[in-house]
Amino acid sequence: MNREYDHLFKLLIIGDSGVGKSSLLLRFADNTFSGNYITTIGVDFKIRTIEVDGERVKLQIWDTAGQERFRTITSTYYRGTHGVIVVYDVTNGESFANVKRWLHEIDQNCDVVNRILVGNKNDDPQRKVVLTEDAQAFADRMNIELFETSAKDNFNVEEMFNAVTRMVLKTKKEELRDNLMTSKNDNVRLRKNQKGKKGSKCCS
Amino acid sequence: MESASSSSSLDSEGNQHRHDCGRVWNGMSMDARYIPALRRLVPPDHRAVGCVRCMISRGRKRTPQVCVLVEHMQEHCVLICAEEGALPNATLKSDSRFPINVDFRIDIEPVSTVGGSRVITANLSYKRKKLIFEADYDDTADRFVKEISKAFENSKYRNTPASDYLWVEVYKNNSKFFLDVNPEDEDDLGEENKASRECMVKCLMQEREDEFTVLNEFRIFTGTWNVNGMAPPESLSEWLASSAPNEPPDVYAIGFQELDLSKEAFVFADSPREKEWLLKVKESLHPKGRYKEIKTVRLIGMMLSVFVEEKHAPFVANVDCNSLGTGILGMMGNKGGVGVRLDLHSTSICFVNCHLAAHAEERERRNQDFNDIRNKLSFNQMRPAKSVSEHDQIYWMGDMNYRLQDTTKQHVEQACANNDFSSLWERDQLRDQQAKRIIFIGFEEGPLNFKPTYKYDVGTNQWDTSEKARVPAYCDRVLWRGNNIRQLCYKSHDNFVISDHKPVLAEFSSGIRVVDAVKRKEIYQELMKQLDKEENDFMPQVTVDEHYLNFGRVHFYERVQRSFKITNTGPVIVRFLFKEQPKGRRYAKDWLKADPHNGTLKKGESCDITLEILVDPASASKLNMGEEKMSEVLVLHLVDGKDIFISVDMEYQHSCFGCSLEALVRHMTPIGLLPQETLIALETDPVKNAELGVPFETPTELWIIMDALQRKGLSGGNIFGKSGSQVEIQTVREALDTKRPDGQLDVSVHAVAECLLLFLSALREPVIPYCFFKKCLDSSVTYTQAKSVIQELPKVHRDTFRYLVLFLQELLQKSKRLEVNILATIFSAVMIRPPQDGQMTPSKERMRSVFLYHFLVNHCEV
Repeated sequence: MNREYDHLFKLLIIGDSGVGKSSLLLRFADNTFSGNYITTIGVDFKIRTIEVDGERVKLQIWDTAGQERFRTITSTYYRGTHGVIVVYDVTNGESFANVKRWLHEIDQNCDVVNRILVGNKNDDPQRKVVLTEDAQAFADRMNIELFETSAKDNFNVEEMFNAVTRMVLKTKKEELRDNLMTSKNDNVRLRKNQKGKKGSKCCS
Repeated sequence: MESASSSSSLDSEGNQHRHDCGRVWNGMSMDARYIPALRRLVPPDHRAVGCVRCMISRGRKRTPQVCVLVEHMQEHCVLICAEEGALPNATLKSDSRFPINVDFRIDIEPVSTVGGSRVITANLSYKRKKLIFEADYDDTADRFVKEISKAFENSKYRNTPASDYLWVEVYKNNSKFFLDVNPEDEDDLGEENKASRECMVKCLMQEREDEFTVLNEFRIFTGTWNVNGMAPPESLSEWLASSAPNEPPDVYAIGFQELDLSKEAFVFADSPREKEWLLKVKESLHPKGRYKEIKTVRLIGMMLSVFVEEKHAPFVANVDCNSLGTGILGMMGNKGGVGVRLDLHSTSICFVNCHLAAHAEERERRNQDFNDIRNKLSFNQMRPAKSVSEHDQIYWMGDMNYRLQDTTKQHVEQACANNDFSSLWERDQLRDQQAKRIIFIGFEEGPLNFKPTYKYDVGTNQWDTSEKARVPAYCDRVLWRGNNIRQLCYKSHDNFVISDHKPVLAEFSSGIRVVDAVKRKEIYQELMKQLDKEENDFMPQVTVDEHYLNFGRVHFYERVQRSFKITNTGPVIVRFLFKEQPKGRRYAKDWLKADPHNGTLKKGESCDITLEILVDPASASKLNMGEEKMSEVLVLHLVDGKDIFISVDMEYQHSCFGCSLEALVRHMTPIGLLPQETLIALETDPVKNAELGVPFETPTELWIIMDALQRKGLSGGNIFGKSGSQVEIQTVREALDTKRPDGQLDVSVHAVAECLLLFLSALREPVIPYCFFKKCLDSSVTYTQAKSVIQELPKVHRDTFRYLVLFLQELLQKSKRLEVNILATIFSAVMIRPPQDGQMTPSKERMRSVFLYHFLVNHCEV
């Protein structure tokens, strides 16, 4: 059967208020950008279907409110998420400093999840305060892939979403393979047991 | 993808499509751009089958319109619609209706070229209404017109009595219908939109097929021969491989008739002749090509074999075959047709080999045979099943048996001798019937520049010398239908003399659409992006005029309301609701309520949502103590869409309502005048933080309430029978919380009575403390037992209990109309409350009421 997509993944974008989470989503899903800043007060999502390694993946991307006061409520949206995109603003050092908290948030709310670190607003070297080297060093330490993007200039956005999708896809395949292995092992064990039972019956 | 919605699958597969695509049938007769408009136009129990933009001429008026074919319970109707607004948001409004029944006529004219573009024209009439339909000729328009004529054909064969077509009435004033569309329906449409995405992708890809396919020329060889039941000759090469020595055909389709005339062939499926001939054919295919047999199908004497060059075999898909007998009872197969269909790259091809009724005078019978095959031969392994006409290219061969009429054998011989074949064509029945649009509509045939192929004396090249001396005829023919087909040759071979027919061959150079995979992927991705965008655009959208509502200072039992407006600003109907909070909690804390807390908004519609705060006895204590945050984030959820956060803040004024007896008896200052920290300290450790060294026996607040009740008189009937007004209750609360009133409270006795109940039910720990609840119920059997429980209570609780009992006894004395068991029920409910996790049952309620009852009826001290 020729379905519209092979996989459906849920991605979540988190990070401080004003780092450009909604802009990244808008750029990726609708290929648009608006300079007007509108705070997200809630949780919105958009979809986009892409092809990764020959497989059609439908992404449902959730954009969350970054404000502190919504932290408790937004944490409930981590459920069922396949990948989390942690965004900071390269022109805002505090937003980068808060990344650690956001990563902690992920650990608390998800079991196993693919994460990616995104330094957005990477379009004006004059205003950049979070240096790539520092961010990279931090990313290496946290074992997380780093992307510097600009939703405004449409720089690296596609690449970043593709990368996280590829990660999620890889995880899914590994899980499938593992499950397959486990079920195979189970079968073997089952058969052994049956054999044992039979044997003991014969003896008695 | 189930969406290869082809025109003829309508009858057999209609239901399936309804599930797949909803009410708008996203088939090849459908201009996909109108699908949203059609969803609005067509009511749920109807189905839009096709839709094209066209020019409609009525009399002298010629206007651009949109023509729609709708179906309801297998009845069809053509709607002529006006298009309002621009695509894709256009709206269709039908201004005339042509029910397809006995009064309907359609006459399709051959495709003509007007000013460089091809135009398909059809005359439609219903009773005395007439109009001319013209549309740019493309696949959609072609299929649309055919869909109408098929609906018309089918309407003739309907067994059901003539319908009154009342269902069409809905389109008479469909602008009204549009407005009346109810919310549920509109919502269904949203679902449909999702379900049909696969169909849509396929449909749109087909629409853009030209962009990612190139036409490659393929050499297609077709041959037909009525072999009169004979064994094959030495070789068939002259017939099958001689026309172009250096250009082997890419595809062979070879049809035989009367392959096997033996009785066995009629009775058994097996025929030894089949193998013989098939082997001979294979030996005689073009020597420069290597061929793979794709399919051979045989029905008695009719056989059709299709071969392709090996290099093309990987690009052949969906091969299917079938046969249809038109002989006696439509079963006997001595006449009829066999067909093979396949997809070669992206072009669908159908080969048909037929043997139609014989004899010069049986022209009508032949017409009937032809139309039966055309209409009924279908390829059922395909999903949905495909008919012959649903192919890009059709090659139709066979012994058609059409004769030359109004002529003589001599004339034919003369004409052939002079190579004047064209004089024979005029007399050919097939051409005549085709011109009259009875058979082979839309088919083409090359010039018959060869001698009639029938009837020869076997073993010779001599026409029938028997007594009958039949007039020779072009019985054996090949016709085709489809685009990009060029006939290379069309001839017969005289040198085969085993049969009374000569073999005929027709070779074609046909444009086969080959997919450019890279280009296709590009377009596919573009399309996906576009559909994603549509999907995103069609999500429910609302605006909310306030995300933050601050209620300011709120007092106990004070009802405060604020409202905000939610407006549906999106393209679809919105269903909203307030989502449950994490951990299964209600959508908001107990003291907050939203009205309405769910609802539906049509496009552009607004709705005011009122948030109301009411701190009741259940929440009072927690808020007093700052144990519960005085803020809430409500999650306004749009079904199938986003969530919006609505923040609510308030500042709760702590109150004596919600304090504990222990705290209340240890202070002098009204609670409302204490800072909250002092109150919290007092509640946390009443002894240590007491304001009074020697505490009161019972709370001052309780005393004030009792006093007020006494003054207002207890004799006036049931003082608990009515509730006080909001203002009155606030007056009492304000008095208790902020000052020590010495005079009368300016409120009704009912308000004070209600405050008494509120006060008791708000107590942080009830008069009978939670830990005594169970014991209380267990001891409700006798007065003595009940009394012993009271003895065990902490002093302030015991004193308060006594004080209340004395008051209630007095009340019963003074007010003769109060019934003791009613009073017991009312007061036990506020004084004897179950612990937080305790479940109340009617029997528990009865027991606690009995417990208190003992004290009310036994007039001795407690």
